[in-house]
Amino acid sequence: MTDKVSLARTLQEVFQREGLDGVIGYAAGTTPLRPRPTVVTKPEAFDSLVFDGFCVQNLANYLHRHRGKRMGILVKGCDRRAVRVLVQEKQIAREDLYLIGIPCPGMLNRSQLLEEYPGLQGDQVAEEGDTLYLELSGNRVTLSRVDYLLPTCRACRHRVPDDVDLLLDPLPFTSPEADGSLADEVKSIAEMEGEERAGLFREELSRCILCYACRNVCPFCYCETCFTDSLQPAWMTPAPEPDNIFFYHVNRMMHMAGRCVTCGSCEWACPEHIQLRLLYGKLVADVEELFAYEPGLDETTPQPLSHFSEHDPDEHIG
Amino acid sequence: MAEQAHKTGTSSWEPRIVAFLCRWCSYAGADLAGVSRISYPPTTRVILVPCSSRISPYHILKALIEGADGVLVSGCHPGDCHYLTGNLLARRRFILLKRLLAYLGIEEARVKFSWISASEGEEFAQLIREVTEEVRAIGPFHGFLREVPGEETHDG
Repeated sequence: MTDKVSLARTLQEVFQREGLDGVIGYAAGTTPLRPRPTVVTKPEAFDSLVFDGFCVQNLANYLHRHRGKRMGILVKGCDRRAVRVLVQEKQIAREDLYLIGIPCPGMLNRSQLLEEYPGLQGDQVAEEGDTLYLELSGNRVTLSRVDYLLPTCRACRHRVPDDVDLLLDPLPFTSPEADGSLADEVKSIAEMEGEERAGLFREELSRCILCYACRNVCPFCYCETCFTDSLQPAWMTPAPEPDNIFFYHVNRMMHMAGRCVTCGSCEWACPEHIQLRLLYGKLVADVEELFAYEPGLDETTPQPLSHFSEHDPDEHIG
Repeated sequence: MAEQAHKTGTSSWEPRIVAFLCRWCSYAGADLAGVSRISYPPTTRVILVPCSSRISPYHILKALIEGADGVLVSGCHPGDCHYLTGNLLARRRFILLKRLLAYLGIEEARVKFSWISASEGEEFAQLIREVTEEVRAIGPFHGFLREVPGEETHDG
């Protein structure tokens, strides 16, 4: 999508001019339609960088391990917000970072494409503005990009990263308006009968194998010892049994309260395709409704669970 | 055994409720109920905690996993916290947890929050009566993400 050569050249120029220790970006992956995060530390290695509609994974997750170094990082809207949350939590210093912003067109749903076109390879997909071309053994399929956006990206309200050191040129696409699809999904589930809703989540979460991919991909899961691994107290065991699975997801959600930027990385990383957005979408909606707070927009406002108001809702106290 | 009795309607089943009580208010309130000889159902297992904000979702979920049918967390009234702000911080956590659990299909009565002061012995007894009745009404807890035994088991 972004011209590979000009992206490499721009980032390489920034790397040398700013005297950075490295630049965090994406390189082609070994699995189709799944670019992988990479850290480039040598000027000659910038040619490996790519950016296309499949660069879902939140790169802010890679800042912790480069703490204290001067790093450049490619940020979409959600990566930018995640970086801001990490700065707010004093995990990284803003002055150590050089943020290269990409106005994000919304990322594409790899699973949806692979389901409709099994065996699709990365080199068969071309993006041009709002159009998606698939080269399928001689015949060319034209698709509309907007029909293949990830559900989290469809609902994104912050596509263009703000307060960055360098904002790359807007890409030749019409940025679709954020729609309320995720909020609607969450709302329709909330309106279900209790048992029906329990059944839905039983079905979704029972598939969980407790691989912790959702934790590992999340920029905010940086605890040295996660509660899942704590042996004293041993809150849970790694056996993928219903109680453990439920314990894990609810506690992880509570840890994400006021922090989750709905980047969709967890759902993207899940090998069992659990619709984690339905959990985190609800959490984010509740935090917004109860505490009028949206994470990652402002470093100076404390996170909702780290302070309080005397006028907080009390209706849940019986 | 107890669960089976509940299912077959012989109802010798009594709910088991874990009550996390803050040491400055609610625990003293329970104490007052005791010394005042106020009777209330013997369904609770009290765990003394320094403050309601000491309780995290870990404790609440773990209690349910380990066999509780209901969990009660009780602390000082807002403004009366021994540590000034503990219960106000806890209040924010609890409302989120309560909403998430409801969203995931857990009966609302399983987890209850309340404020009881050291002088509210009767209120404490009343609270335990209410919680016991509410948990009794929804029956034993079978674990998370498990199918609730169907209606037909009630007939058998």
